[in-house]
Amino acid sequence: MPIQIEQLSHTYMPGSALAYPALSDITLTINDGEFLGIIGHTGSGKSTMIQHLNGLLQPTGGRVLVDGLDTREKKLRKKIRSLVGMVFQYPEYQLFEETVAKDVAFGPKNMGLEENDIHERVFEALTLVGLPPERFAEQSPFELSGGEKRRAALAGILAMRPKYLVLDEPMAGLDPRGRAEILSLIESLRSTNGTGIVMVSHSMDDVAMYADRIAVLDCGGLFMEGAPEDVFSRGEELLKMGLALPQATRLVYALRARGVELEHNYYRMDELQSALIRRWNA
Amino acid sequence: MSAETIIELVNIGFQYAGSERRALENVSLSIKKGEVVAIVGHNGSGKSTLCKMLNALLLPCEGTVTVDGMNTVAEENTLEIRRRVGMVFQNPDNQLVTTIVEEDVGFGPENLGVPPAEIRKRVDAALGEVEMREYAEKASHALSGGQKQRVAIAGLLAMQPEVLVLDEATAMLDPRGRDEVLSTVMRLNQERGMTVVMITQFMEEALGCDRVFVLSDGRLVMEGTPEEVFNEREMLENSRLDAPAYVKLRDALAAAGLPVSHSAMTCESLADSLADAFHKKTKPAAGKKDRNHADSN
Repeated sequence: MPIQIEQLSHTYMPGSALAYPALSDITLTINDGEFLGIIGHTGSGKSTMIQHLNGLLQPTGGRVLVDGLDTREKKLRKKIRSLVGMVFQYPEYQLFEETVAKDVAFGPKNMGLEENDIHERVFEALTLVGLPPERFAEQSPFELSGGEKRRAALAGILAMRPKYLVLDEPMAGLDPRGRAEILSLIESLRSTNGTGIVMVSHSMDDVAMYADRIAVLDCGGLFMEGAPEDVFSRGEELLKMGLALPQATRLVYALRARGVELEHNYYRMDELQSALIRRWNA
Repeated sequence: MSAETIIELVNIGFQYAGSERRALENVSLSIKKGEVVAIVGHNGSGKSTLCKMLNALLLPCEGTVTVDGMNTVAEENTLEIRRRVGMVFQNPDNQLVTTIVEEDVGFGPENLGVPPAEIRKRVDAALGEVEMREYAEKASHALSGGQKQRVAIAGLLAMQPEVLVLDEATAMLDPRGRDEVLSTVMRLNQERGMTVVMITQFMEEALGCDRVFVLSDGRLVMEGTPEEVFNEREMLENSRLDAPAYVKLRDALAAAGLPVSHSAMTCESLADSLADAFHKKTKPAAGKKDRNHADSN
């Protein structure tokens, strides 16, 4: 079953002089096992929207159903939060335990699981994120490198075996190798475990490369939604909104301005590369 | 030390208390007045440590750091060094200290004991430089990330620094915010000759700099122009870095036999080179070489 966002609106401090409408009338379905990218400039409502996906925020209008469970129902929230894992920006700032294993165990412990089960999940999650437990479990999380800390924080969420994983800028501040590692980890969670992924990112290239579908938010509304090729074929509108284009698309536009027309508005570098080579050899 | 050098590091070594690892090992480099340099390196490579050496936030365990000829270990130099070398950090929410934009910009000169009338002048000028004058009386918490970083830069400008150091100052910004900050510092460099030291994880940002320093595991593994550095694909790989996307595409196209210019590293220059190649191919006899503004070589 999917996550259904139905006519979702959210106004901060409603009824007061400071009332601020952050989201208005958003309808969007996130399908099982899907990789949804969310893009939009600062202040477009991305963070407000994703905080609705596990009931951290409640709609002031409309509703959000996670596998049919309404996030407005207080008694369902614990169940909803075990279904939807939320990874905030710079999650490593939230590491707090003495050892990596204890930190990762925090979530499963709160779920009220048995000691054996917790242990198994901690080992599984650490292995998944590429921090072999035999080497990392007993280390202090604060002795890890930046990329390792990020992965340890991610393991803490994965240990709850969420059905959906919501990530807010998961690669921010990482070096190019670290970015690639986190991205391939997220992609493998989807392909091997069928975890549904919702990723907020400023990197159009990462979204272009991995997302099945992209939702574009602007001024609190859903501006457009569709497959990457559809979204990035509307480049001028994205630029006007203050967003960037994937690097491949930028080159397609730059070539067009120089009188070289390609078949498509390519949005992936690998596809653009093949297209250019094909054209050269034609 | 040549007359135009503003920052010089000689054989710097550093180790954090309680750490078993050397954060910096035998690093020497110099930065000239008016230069824009980038420092790149993997997480934990020592970039931020190095950056904090530049205005005496950290002092080297070995070697010397001099700013305008002043040694950073001499305590009597600290204030003057910090005035001359302004630092912008990663998180836009951690750097503004007051609630109103113009008060924030005036905070530095006020602490330097600058007379009030002069502070007023400097604050107005600094906000003008970063194109934030209309926000002077606004609440600083309500600004966007890019605007906050520009206010942070204005706060430094009000102290009339000679060097701006940006420690991943664009990492948390959206593309528009990043453009705002980058174009602001580039303009300060071109119009005022401001020396800029940019620490970044975005290789594309380093392409616009005069020189690039590559750090890996606390050591300086390479310095050179962006062209020299980003064409060393193996060195980048070994340093956990990556070449900019257009450089990788260019190399792949060249390997497939397309005559792309080896100096094309950006979207614009690669498009020039490719358009030139395609036009020549379709009209081989036309001989109109300069119908596209093709780049040389």
